[in-house]
Amino acid sequence: MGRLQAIRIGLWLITGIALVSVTLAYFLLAGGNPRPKVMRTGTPTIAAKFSLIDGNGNPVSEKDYRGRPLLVFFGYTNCPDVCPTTLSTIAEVIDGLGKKAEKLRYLFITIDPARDGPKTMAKYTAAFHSKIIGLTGTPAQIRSAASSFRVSYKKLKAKNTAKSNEKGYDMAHSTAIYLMDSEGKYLAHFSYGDAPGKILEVIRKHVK
Amino acid sequence: MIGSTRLIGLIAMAGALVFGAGPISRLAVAEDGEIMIEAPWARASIGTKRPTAAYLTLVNLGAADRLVGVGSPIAAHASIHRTVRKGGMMSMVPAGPLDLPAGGRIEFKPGGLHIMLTGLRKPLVKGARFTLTLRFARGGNQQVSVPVASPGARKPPQ
Repeated sequence: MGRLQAIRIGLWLITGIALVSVTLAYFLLAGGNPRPKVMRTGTPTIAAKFSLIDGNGNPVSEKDYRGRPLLVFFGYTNCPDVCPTTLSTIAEVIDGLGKKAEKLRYLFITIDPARDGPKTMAKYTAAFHSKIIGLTGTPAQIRSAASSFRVSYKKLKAKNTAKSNEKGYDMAHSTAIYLMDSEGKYLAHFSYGDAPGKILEVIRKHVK
Repeated sequence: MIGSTRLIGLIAMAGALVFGAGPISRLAVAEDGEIMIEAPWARASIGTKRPTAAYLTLVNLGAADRLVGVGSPIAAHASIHRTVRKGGMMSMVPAGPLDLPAGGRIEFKPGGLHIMLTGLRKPLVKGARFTLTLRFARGGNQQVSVPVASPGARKPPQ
């Protein structure tokens, strides 16, 4: 082996070690300090994604409503103040939409599945408007559906609950109404107390 | 004392009639008190197992008093509740007793104070009426006849 060949092998070795070192360093450093993922896209990451049970006990998912914009609200049937007020607002919106009402679907999803079975939901929503669809599910299904809408809820401890309530507890829950497009993507939301006229205006803008 | 109370009640009733403040059924006047109970109403119930809510406005024309409790023969339990907003969520908390200062006014309305009725003895049907008793520390028990509006009503029936 001549001197030149020894030098050549030596150079290749150095190059190889350098390459391996740089590669290792890159992965180690990148692994140790992962670059934060940019999640903000200008619209909230709210999406209609759910597997639930309808008033007849049949499974439904967001795919069953593809092609239909949705108006979605979460609540529970033992709620005597906020939920009837919001459902009656939605009922007024449906009537206000006239023929256009057929283009959308209106979902009321319980956050209290222990007390709100399919029949209870069907009977409850029918009292407000025949077009409002009541949905329930297993506790896990409800958790997952609520999380896709960024909806929070919790069962209140007895000390915060009116003693008199049936089976003794109330729920705290987010009260926004969500308008989703025909692909299940977020369009707009409304706060508790927003007038039906305001909601109608936004729906008319988005649903042609 | 009772005489002057009755007089105030009469003046209030006459005023309501003369100035067209609506049908007299919407303005109940506590008989032996100086507290006016205005525009009582309740939502029709969904059967008997779900709670419902009643609303009204109290106007105190007399000395300071306090609403200490509520009751009704149509419900096993009646309680004063307030809807509150906390951490992006809404819920209800017990809210009684309520101070009613002289000249004070307390409005029960959707999204705020309400009288929660549970353990209904029969369904509350739209168009019906039921009796609600308000217990005042000074004024004693006052009864008011409450008209039932639709389950989705947001204001008293016309």
